[in-house]
Amino acid sequence: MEYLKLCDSDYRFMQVVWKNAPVNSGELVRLCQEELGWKKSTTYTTIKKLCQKGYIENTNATVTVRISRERVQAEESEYFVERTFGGSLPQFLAAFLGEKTISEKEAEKIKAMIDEHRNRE
Amino acid sequence: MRLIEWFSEICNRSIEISYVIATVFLLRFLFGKLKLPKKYSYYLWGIPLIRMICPVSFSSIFSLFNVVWRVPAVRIQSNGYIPFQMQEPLNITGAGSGSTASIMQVVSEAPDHTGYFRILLIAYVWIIGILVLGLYSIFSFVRMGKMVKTAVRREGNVYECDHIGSPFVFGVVFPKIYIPFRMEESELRYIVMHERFHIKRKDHIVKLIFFFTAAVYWFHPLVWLAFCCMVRDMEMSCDERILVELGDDIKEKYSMSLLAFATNHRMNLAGPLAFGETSTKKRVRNVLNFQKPKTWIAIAGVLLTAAAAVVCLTNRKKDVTQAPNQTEAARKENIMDENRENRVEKLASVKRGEKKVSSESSKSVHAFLTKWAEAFCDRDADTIVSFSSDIVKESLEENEMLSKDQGGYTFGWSSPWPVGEGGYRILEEDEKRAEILYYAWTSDPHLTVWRESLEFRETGEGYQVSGDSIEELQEISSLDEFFKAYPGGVISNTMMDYEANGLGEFLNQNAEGQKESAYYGGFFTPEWSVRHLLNLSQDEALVSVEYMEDTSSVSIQFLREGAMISVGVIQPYGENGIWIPASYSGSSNLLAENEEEGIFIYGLISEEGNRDKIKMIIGEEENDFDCDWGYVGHWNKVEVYEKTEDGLPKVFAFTMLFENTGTSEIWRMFMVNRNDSGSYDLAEFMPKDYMAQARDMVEFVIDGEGVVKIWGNGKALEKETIPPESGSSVKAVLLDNLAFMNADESGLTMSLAVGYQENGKTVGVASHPLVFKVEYSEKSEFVLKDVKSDADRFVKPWPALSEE
Repeated sequence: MEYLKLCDSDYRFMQVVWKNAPVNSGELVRLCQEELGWKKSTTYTTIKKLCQKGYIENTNATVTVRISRERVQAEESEYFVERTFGGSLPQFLAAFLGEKTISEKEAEKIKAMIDEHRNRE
Repeated sequence: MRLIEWFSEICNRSIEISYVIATVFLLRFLFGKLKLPKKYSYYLWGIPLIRMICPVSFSSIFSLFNVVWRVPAVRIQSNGYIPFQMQEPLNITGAGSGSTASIMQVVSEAPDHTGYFRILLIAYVWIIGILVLGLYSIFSFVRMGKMVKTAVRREGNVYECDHIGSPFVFGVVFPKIYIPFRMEESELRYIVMHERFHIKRKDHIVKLIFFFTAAVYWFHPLVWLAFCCMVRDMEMSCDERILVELGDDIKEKYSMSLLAFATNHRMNLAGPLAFGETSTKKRVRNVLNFQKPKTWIAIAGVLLTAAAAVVCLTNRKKDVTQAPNQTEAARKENIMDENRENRVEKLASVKRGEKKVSSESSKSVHAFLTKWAEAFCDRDADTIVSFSSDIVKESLEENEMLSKDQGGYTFGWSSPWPVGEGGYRILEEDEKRAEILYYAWTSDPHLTVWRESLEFRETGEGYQVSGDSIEELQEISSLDEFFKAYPGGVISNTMMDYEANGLGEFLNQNAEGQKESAYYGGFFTPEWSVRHLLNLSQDEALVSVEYMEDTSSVSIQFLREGAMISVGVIQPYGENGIWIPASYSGSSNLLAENEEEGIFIYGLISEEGNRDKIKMIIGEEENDFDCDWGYVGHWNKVEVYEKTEDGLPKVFAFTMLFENTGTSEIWRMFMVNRNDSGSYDLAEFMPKDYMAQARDMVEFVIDGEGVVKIWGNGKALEKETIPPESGSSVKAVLLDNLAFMNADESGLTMSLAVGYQENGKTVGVASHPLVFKVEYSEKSEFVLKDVKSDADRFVKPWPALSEE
């Protein structure tokens, strides 16, 4: 059986829906706020998005499930954040310093370094 | 203008910053060798950050700037004259060395505006750079905000988020921690701890501030390098903190997490990544090699960081090497005094008709200047080039006066240009400098004055021009500019005399036929004609011109400085002809007056155009004196101290404004005495002659509690507390320095410089303006009678100790 795939945050949202559906959209906003820490607008945007994808339906402010829990799997999202004031340096600075993506070889080296340290102790 | 000022400030600071950052790198290297915890390296970055942001800093003798160098200044002046002076670089030895080597010294540049616009252009590029970076940041911020919107709360302020490769903190006021989904529970513990520590330490805000500061210095690669290293040190110090909290056992696991974030298997589309190989490797190595710091290391770290802060955050204490006993304030006053005395001496020597130049050399200098000026008017490029130093050639080329093509050099342009006989006038000259006026014109009968300041030196074969600047005086809006263009305010029999130069007749003929035209019609009113022919600014807010029928003159007022000058007007082509400017023959350049006593003192202009005579009208009598005078438009009352039996003023004094640069005014005070033969003697009042009297009258006492009292007339005038750090052994000494500030009906205001000394070393200087009441004594001199403090002008002591 082939699974439909959702990114983690959408999957978490769907879990809330599966647990409570059919559910009033206002109530869903409250639940998402409680369980996911979401704002009203975020919940509505996600409802709209998943309606379009056909996972749920929203009629007369009531959200119902179209696809069962068993058919869906969570999938890790692709990593594409351009980091700014988050974890590290803005991109152009990384470029400025000539810091490139870490290579397989470099990773191996670091790994070896860690292993060596572990064995020493 | 403001923009350029900011830009030049940032440029000047950039140079300072380079040294500070270099010092921090050096210390950071040292800290690394000493195995100090990384937090000290992180704190070190606070120093360049503060240095970049703060407008002022304190001076101290420990300052880095004492020893290493004097900051070369890039001065940008408002008239577009841009001398980049790089003086006194890298004086490493510091103490006792007054010798300086110039890397580059552009003596002077010609003054047209291309240089100015170039700087303006660069300043705009700078501003645009800042805006671009600002927009980039806002854009990134907004994008990031969208990205983390669907993040799911895990606990407290920790959110799990899609699309991210490694954990981070986002937000300013309520920062949240974002981590990727599916992190191992054990990993999570120290990762969250790491991010929480960032928040606790306000690292996210530090980073933001540093980034925006760096954006202002965006052209400075070292600043960006500093930013990157700061971020790295920030991370490493956080890593270390976690190891201290959780113990060495997690080292490997922690390192593996770091590696995992860097090689991220989740990462597919990432561009050049932030955690590049170097930093990951360094971070991992730092984690693995970390040992809990010993107490003494922590103390050393604190001390070294504090020392670094003192060294880098304070400014050079001024002239520590050159004049250890003289502080800046005292030095400045001395210079002012010296300048004044020099000028007075110079004026005196001119009065006596002395010429310092030997006749032989002055002849050859004159011949050289004549050749130069003629070549200038004839646009003789070869002669100009042969006389010019490389720097002058370059500056002439930059101003597009000189250009080179296949056929050789060409000089100048066709119009407007000074042409023919009488196209120039050599004004002043000595062995090194000269001032030349050029009269430029187009095909229209209208002249504009250019003033050239030449510097030259003697070489083996003759003379070479080493500095040249040319000012086009076509929008005259200050008295200074007026006198530059029309020395002494003299018009008649100079090239600017439209009757003598023949252009007036042309103008008159043209105007007669076109009385209705806005242009030619103007010549029939004296105000318009003078404004136009003397190239005064058209802006009514800067220059006002008023016709005075009774003295057939116009009164020109330069409104910005409040200065005034009278110019005569004549109608040489008949009653219905045009008006043209002429020399002023009356005497309305009022310098000082006392209407009740009938005393009026006027400045006179000699035939040669010098302002070196004054006329004193006392009742019916008129007396002329040799005396230089300066500004008109500001005058004070003549104070009469004594009268003759007939009621004539016998002893009186007046002040006159001699120089007004806009920022400083120099007033001179004169004393007049009627002698027995009925004529008057004029003497200048010199403050230094009254030093001894002032010393007798004023005393400075310091009591046991460190309070300075200034005594005069048997009462305390002022009180000042010595800063506690100075100790109780401080003595107050009246310095040999008395600056004359003002004279009016309340008396003379003089500023006394007081030095505070400890063990013979000056630790502070204060300037105390005191008002002395003066009386005229029988011995024909002024006596200081009474003294009081002029609180309004009081300058607090200890400027040298507390701030720059």
